[in-house]
Amino acid sequence: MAPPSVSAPPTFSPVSDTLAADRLGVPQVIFFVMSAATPLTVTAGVVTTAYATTGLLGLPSAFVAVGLLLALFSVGYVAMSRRVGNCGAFYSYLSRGLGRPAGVAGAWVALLSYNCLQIGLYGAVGAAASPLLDQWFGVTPPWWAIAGVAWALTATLGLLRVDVNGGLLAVLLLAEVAVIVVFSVTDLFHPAGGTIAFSPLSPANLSGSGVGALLVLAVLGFVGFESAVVFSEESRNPRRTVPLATYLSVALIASLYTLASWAMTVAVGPERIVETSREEGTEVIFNLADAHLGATAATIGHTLFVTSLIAAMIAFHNTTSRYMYALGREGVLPRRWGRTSASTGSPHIASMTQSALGLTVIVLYAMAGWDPLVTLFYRGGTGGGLGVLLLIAATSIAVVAFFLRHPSDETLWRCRIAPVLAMAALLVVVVLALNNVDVLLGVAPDHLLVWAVPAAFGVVAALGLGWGLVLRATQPAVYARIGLGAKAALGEEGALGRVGEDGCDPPVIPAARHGLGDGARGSGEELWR
Amino acid sequence: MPPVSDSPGARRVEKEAVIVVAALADEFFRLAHHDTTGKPLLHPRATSLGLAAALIGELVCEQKIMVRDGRVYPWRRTPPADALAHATLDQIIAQPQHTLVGTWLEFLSQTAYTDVATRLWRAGHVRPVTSRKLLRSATVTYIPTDLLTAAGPLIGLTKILRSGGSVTWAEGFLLCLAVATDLAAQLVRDLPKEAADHLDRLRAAAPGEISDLAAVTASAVGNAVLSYRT
Repeated sequence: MAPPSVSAPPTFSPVSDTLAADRLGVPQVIFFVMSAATPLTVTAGVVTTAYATTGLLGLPSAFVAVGLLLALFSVGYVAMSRRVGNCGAFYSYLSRGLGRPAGVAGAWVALLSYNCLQIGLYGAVGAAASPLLDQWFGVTPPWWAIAGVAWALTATLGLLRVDVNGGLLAVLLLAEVAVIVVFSVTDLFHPAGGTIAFSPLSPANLSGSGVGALLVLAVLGFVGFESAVVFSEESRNPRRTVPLATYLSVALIASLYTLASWAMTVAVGPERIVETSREEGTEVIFNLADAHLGATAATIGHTLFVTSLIAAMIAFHNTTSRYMYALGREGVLPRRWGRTSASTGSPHIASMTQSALGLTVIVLYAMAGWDPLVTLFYRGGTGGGLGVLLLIAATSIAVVAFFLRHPSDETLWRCRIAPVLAMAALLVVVVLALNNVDVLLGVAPDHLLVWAVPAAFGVVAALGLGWGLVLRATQPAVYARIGLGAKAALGEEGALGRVGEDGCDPPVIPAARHGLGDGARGSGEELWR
Repeated sequence: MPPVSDSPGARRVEKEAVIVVAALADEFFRLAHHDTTGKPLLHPRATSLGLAAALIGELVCEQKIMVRDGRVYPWRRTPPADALAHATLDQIIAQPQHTLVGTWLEFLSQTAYTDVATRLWRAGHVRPVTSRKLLRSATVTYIPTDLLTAAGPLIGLTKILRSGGSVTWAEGFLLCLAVATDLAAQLVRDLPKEAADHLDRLRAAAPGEISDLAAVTASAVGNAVLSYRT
């Protein structure tokens, strides 16, 4: 392990010591990132539904490819994060790199995408909990009743700001990872037909038609990897902790999902995985465990699938409401959304808005009788995944543009080569994805959704762009602060300094010493005695 | 108190020093708690950050330190009369490598709540009551001993907002701090709309050091929401 690059503080400083005691190291940051990624939701829910809907085998190789691509993207992304106000949110990068109207467009696309991802999860929880409720209590309630309970739980926790306890989340996460690894290794020991098939891992799978769909699905598994940078101000050594945590998270997610999605094909047989997934849905992985490890293992897996889904719901609910909160703080959305509840400190208005949206969709699907797993969970998830892919691609352009305009002390690799390579590759992925929307959603090529889903993102982005331009013309003060998040209160970027910059040499004390109350701003000075 | 400077700002302070200077954090503590039950009106993080800002505000008001462009600079090293203010000033003087208001807010907010509550208790303004509830750790509530003193800042500030009158440095500081910590919404909730407008006008005309302190506090309170973790 390399020695820490920052030397010890030059002088004794209780301030540094006190603040450092609460700082995060690499493992903690990885835990925060991974617990939002909720691996079992992806493995049991997304992977199986993806096999069923796309009918393609290449998902394991797609996870590898997207993992490498996002690692490359992270090089420039992490380097730029040190210069961005609200560094956990892609739209901040857009507004710094491509201009503030692009930032608003990105923010609106992000809101749409994260809402799709969050609300989509309500569609899966019914399918996930039904077998358990049947086994334990002998009841099979309709999916919307289970989704309603999950919704009430999420809405309440969001309002009370009782984020599920960090320790509990860590235990759940470790259990999920353990279950996935054990199930997958067992699958590898029980290959269909007696031989382990390596064909799903072949890069050749990424050359056929429908590859764009596979890449979007893989991106979906990585959503949340971008959040490590949120903790840069709270990490022990931002220059080391944050990049390391980001790369390790990407590597962990990629290995886990590649293993799980490949093992599934080995145990079922590559030629039968699509058919089996269509028949058994999210049960594939648990049925395999039932056959090879016994009913108890399957029950443990089922239980963790439900807790994983609920944890994912809460995580995406909080992400979405914090997005709205940050935008409300900036004045881009109504300022109401930027308020917190006085007693709990939760962004309660943003939280209630997201919950209201979720309930509306659940009620709509229940009344229309649409299939929750395919039309809500899978399409919500893939639609959201497509939105996140578009955001990542736009952010990669913003990183390149930013470093072109702001020369920095970063290495050539970090601020030029890696960002340009990542941008080129991501743009290829976007083109492939937009060509394969039919395969992605599992509909006929002439289906309404094939152009309606991308168009929805286009329209929302255009509206955001327009709103950004309106703000420029009518509210310059708000316009100047787009992309700063909670730091919008500080005025334009860097006006009042950033915490990370403190602790170096003392700056020169201003020579002119004014008395109190000097330099009053704006009009109305007579109001101050 | 001897004249500290001949600038007009300093004279203002001299005149009001006896009444408000040492008490800004006490006053914010009272604002942020119910005047009879002592129940908090804000969540703990916002209260702590507000109290930390008020402790800095006390030193600014006494002209012991200066706040310029989001940074804190020691100014007059003569110790303040109050023990807590004295200790805070010593910290700032001893660590000149840290100047950002944000860093000091973060640091002071770790202990500000207990520090200010203890100061109020020593002066006989509150009495601590420990309560235990099932499945929760023990919490200490500081119950005001005198309703009139406890309600004083709220009554004073709402009177200003209702009448549309002018504010002293200390009153204006408390109002800006209330906005920065999201406490102001409760302050103006039952007041006519003109009161909220007056609050906006007062904030817009606030002196630079108050705007800076309030802005950094608001940013820290907002950031606490965005990077909240358990």
